[in-house]
Amino acid sequence: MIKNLNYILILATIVILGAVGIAFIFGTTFSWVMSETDGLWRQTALYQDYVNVMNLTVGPMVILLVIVLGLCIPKRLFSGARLLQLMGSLTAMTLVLSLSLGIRLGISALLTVAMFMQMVVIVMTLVGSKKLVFEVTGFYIQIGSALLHMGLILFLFDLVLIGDALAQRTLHLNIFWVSTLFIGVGMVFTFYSDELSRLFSRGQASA
Amino acid sequence: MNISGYLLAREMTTRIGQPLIYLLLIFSIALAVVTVVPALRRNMRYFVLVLFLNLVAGWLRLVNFHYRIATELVLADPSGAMATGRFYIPVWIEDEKFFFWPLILCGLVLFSRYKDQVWQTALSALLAIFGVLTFFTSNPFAEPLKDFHAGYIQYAMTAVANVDPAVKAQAYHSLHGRMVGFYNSEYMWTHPPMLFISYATFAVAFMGGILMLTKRDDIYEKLGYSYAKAGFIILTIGLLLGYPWALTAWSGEPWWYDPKINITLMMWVAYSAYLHARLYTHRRGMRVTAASLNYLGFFGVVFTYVSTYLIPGIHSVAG
Repeated sequence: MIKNLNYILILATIVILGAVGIAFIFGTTFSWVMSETDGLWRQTALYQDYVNVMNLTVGPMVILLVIVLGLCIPKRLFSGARLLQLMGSLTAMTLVLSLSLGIRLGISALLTVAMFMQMVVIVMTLVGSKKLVFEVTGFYIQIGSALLHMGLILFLFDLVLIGDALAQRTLHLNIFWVSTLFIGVGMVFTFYSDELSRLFSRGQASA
Repeated sequence: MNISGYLLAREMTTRIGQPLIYLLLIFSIALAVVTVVPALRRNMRYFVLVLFLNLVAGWLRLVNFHYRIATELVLADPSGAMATGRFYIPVWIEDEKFFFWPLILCGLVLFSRYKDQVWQTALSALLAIFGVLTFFTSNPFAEPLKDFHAGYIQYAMTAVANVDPAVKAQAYHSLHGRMVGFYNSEYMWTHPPMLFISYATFAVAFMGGILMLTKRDDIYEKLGYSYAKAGFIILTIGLLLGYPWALTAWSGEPWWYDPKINITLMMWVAYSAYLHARLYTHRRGMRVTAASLNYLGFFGVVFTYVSTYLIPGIHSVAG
């Protein structure tokens, strides 16, 4: 079942990413046409309208992406019915908070829960716990995946909750650099896990 | 400030560079011929090596020119006539962009560990196309750093002219702003080159996708994937490094949803979707989906680059 769930989440991610891509193509084409019609359109109210339409189009898709990402996290810690219950609870919590307190807080709450779960996943991976549910084997790919997801959560959390307002720019950028580090290291570990395993096992053997 | 030293270095760059760019065209055409004539293919790697040395020679000339800019030119505050800074300009701006990209691609082709002739021929053909395109669209030697040159000469002429101090101050501040936020920015040294390196790896990945389709051999898809994942890491880090730069350089300006940023994000999501789809190629339909996303991603790479010159915006030189 977990394999199918993974596949569904991956499929959902691809579909949402594809939709975001189409929205960006629309935005670029629209900008191009507008620039050809009126070279100064970025100084007009039309530009703000364009930004609003793009926000309305891309915003929900990014929210869906965050939800899918948030749902991806518990699958490392839980499986079977408990996983489905937890995923349902997380979705319900996000919806209720979004409807009552606003989307920003709803999404931030989901990301906060996901962040704590991911911290647990990272620690358990580092200590070599056998309780984690990974569909792939090997330390580097597991810790890489965990760090990459943590980086993405931090990045989105930073963007959604902290924002780039001048008053909190330093905090925003500090979290941004941490998330960039996690994403970079996570990607290298995930994509080059076999090479890293060979490299370090060789190092250990020669030592 | 030693303008004559700078002008001499610029002229030397043109004198040395122009023959090199013509050689680039000749070697690229020769490489293209080698790729289509089977009898000549066993010498292909020598042609790639010569092309690589040609590109490296051109690039070293540009490095020398940029070094001379850093040592010969200063930007002085007209109010106090104090030296306020030198220009440390990376070697991938203006027309140098499309010179740097083939240089990286050539290195990837030359040092590719997979020696299969079909693979090497396809990559060499791609390289030949890039070489010809560089000659016709982006010659960095004809007028080295045209925009920088125009801006600096205007500043230098205003500095010595008998004009209102306010005009001098305006010329100084205009160039100073570009020096701090663009030419000397640490992000200029990291964000663009990472993107160009990723573009070169995506070009190779695209070729892998094309060969998989035409030759029906999985090895090319795997080769393409190995380049795509390397390119994706570099692209992601490169894009992220552009974010703090955008916050400071375009503070107060509407840069979100700029056409170039849109299309770059489209490219990123296409490659991200490709790498996700690639995990499940054993499932029905996912193989075609993954391959299509690889092609879409490369379309995004080409369009991202071309959009800089076509679509006006904050990240563009068009209009």
